[in-house]
Amino acid sequence: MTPAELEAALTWANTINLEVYYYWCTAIMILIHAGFMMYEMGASRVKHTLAAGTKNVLAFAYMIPTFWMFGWWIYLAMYNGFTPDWEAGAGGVPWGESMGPNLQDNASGVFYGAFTLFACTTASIMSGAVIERIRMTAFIILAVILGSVAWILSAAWGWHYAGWMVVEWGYHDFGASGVVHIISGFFALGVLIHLGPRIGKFNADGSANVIRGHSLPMTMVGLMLIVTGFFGFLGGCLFYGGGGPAGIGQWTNIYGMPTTLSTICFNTLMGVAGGMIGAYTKTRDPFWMMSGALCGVISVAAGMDLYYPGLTFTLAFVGGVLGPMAAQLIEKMGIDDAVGAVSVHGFCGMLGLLFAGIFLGGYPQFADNVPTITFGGQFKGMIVMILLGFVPGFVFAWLFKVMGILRASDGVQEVGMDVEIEAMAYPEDIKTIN
Amino acid sequence: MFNSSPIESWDGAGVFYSFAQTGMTDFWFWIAVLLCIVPLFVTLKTENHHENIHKFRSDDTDSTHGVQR
Repeated sequence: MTPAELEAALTWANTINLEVYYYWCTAIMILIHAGFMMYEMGASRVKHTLAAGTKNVLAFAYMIPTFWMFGWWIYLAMYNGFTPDWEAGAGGVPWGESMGPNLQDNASGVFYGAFTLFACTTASIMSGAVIERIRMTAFIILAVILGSVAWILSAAWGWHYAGWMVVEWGYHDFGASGVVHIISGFFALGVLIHLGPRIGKFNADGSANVIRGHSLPMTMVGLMLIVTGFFGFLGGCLFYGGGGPAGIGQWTNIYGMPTTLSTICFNTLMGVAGGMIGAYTKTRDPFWMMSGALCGVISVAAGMDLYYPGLTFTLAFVGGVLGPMAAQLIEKMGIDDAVGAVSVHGFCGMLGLLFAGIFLGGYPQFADNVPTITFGGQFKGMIVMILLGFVPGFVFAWLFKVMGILRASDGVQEVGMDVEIEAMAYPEDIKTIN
Repeated sequence: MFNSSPIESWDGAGVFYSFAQTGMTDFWFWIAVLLCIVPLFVTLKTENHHENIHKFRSDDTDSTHGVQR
């Protein structure tokens, strides 16, 4: 074999490895969606169970074609802000050569798939917050706006080696604390403000009642599936070594900075554990213990490609303690977030970005002209993410409210949202305290 | 029935999806768009039907959202 042939064989092996890696990351990420579906169904009362599951599945189904139609193009073209780079976006147009079977392109399909599953995750995050009263059609459209527009625009800005927030502020968000979790959490908040609480959540004096779901065990298993899916999600945040400044065979983060898969393994596990223990210590509540795993990982996600595992555990513990406290605060504000999505994802996503700003100073960037990680850059990035999530959620939910298609009537809520999908989760009519 | 192949040989082939580099891709694209939008109207119709049947709570024809009575 000549040196040229050897080099060609290595390059080809690298291409195939990349394809295999992201293909299976995508498959594992589907577990996140399965987990969210179980989580939400368990958190719903019996009469709302299938409606909660159905809307979650439909969000998944709608995200796939819409992300193919325009989501992937937004990522490739909109990294400068609101002005598209038509040339860069050409690879993402759905009638182009890259957006379908092509023997010369092993990458576009698997990257589209992985990014689509990130989009599905954002929709699932919003989905839990609004259970038991949102109408299906409005929810699906909101999910598409969140997953195939808002999240991917934020990714183009802050999760792209040429994104304007990256090159101007040194914004660092390895595991998507901001671009996925803040966006989704604050989008959900914008929707919740117009959607209103479930019937019976708040008393006339403003005090809140606890509305328990019909199956906490189902919710706990669902959350464990989400934790499993994190390995696909956070593994998918790595770039398989395809060359560039880091060299062939070197894993990099999405910004081109070298890292290892082992790094992510250390810190994903530490994040999960820290969050669970922190939340359980604070609440002694099985629901929050499992949600604490999410609080923990999200609180460390932005910097988990660089943290020392002991620091990761500590920060995740703090996230696990503060997440439930943020949920209480949101409830006191009169917002009925059925699963704590705003606090778990929105608030802990903020922690994730700020922690990276506090603890990750001094790391060299992938290019000399990119600013290093600073608290100021992370803070400004956090504000952008909050606005990019909240504003579209608030505006479109208001629009649907005006149109009268946002919230199910009180009568439907009383009978159960399952009536609108003409199905029944438990035909034998199991009895619960609800 | 349809001759949809954009290639005549696998040697050196690149794009090989059906109807590639023909106007038919636009057609299938817009069909896909339509198939996303039309089901939303069908869903909305079903929702409205049940909203009309169950408009009010059984114990209250003038209930207030979110406030327990």
